[in-house]
Amino acid sequence: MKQEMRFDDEHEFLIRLRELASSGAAARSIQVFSPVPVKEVDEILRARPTFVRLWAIVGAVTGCLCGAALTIYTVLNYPLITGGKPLISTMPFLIIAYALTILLGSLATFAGFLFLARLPNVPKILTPLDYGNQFVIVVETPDP
Amino acid sequence: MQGIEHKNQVERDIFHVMMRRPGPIYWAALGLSAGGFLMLLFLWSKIIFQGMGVLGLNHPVGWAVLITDFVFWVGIAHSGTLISAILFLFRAKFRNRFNRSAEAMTVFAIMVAGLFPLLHLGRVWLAYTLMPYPNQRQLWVNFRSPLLWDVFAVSTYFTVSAVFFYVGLIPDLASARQHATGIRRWAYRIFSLGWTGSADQWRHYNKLYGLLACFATPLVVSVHSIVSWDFAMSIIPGWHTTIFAPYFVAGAIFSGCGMVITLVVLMRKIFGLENYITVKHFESLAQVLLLTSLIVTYAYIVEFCLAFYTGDKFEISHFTYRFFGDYRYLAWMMLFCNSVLPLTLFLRKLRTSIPYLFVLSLFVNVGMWLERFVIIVTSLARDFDPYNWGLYRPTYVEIGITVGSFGMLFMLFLLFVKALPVLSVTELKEEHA
Repeated sequence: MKQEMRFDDEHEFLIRLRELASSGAAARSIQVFSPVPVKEVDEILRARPTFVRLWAIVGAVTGCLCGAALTIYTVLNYPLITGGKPLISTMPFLIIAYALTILLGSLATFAGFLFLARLPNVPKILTPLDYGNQFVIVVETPDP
Repeated sequence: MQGIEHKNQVERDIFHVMMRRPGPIYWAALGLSAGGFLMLLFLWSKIIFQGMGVLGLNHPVGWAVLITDFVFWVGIAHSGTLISAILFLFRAKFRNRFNRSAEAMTVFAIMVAGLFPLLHLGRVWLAYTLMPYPNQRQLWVNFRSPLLWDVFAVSTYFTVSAVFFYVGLIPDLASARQHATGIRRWAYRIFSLGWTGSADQWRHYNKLYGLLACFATPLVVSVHSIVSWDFAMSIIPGWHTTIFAPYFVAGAIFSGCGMVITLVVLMRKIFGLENYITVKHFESLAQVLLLTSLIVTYAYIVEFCLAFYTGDKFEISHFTYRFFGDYRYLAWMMLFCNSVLPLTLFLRKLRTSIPYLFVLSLFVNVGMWLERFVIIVTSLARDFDPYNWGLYRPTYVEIGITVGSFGMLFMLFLLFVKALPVLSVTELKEEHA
């Protein structure tokens, strides 16, 4: 059974949420929707830290390695000395690795967000869940 | 912000601007700027069908107005990232009045900038050779070339800016879908990805936004540094200097803030956003403009003094030529617009006057365009060998393309203001939650 509580005021919403959490309701059974981010919600529900940063670091490291691999592989694949510089020129190649670090890091972070936030959510695109500017607590209780 | 008490009001005000039928002034402005863009396309077709001879380029000036335009537009893009990423990390409150417009301007300015290397190629159908791609001959691009660094830097900048812009829009589009009807409603539903505003989504979203700001911040410094190395890596007097990177970055932020003021003053007036974007907010932006103007002026002085301090006769004669030679009027005009006029912002009365800021921002735009022209053309017109000297004059094709590029930016911006929220609704609601 689902019980839905709607609040116009953020303060009242937080008081009710604290009461629910302290009354022993399992955090998993409580869903919260808000028009703006409310940082206290994570503390009250003891939310686990997000793994978006893991996606960011994996993307960034992959980008850096790809940049290094691409530049080094291509000069070794077709060795052509230009401007009297060594084939593997560290400084110019660092610039490519740097750009790809940021590029893949950003794209991976975005992909991670979509994956973790379960977006795009097709059913919700077809029938959106809109509470306007209200703060909403939905509590799921087992059927008697 | 007077009279705005509730976040519902914020939504109504901003979405009303976006969804009400545009008036004749809007259509006239859109028609004019779209006309400019069409002129750009027509003139581009002249380059394609008749060749590079329609441009004023010749020996020794092989880079001129089109490269000036490229550097100018990449520079314009920078303030968007500064306002959205760096000011976000510094928690500067005034940013939320400008961030959406500045981010949109960034994306559009890079789109405009990206056209110029393609225009300059002449044979644009060979543009794919700029990117490293596997081929039978196993030929690869030269990763030691600053021009290739530019390809990577600018394409990365465009991608990251576009992602950042879109991410900021997701919760706003979710709010907008409740106010829209018809096809517009469906478009907002699809692009808001089924956002519900659950605590989980907000947690991941906040982390994403912070991380994207961290990724975008080094781009503010790196992209225009890399653009400056297109010049500084050569041995041409006037280009070959170590201060180019910070000098270009400061100039980019300076010109970008100028363009943000130009666009936002007009937007605020036309859409009646005076309650949201106040004089106080403009004053903060004017302070950034003043600071960057001082940095640019300092760079002008250092650049000039460095040339004389080296004792290198080519450098000395180049800088003498820059301010007393054939292009001297442009160089002095540049100094007036970028260094002298912004000093008036020390006066509080002037930096809190919106009409004055608007006029000043136009001068800044002109001054920064001239700066790039002066750097590029004067250096090429007089290098080491007097037998290799020559003058450059732009043709109507180059002038038309430059005017058309402004048309393209304004056209995209005008489409943006009627399609997407011009202010970050979520951030404004957060202020009044």
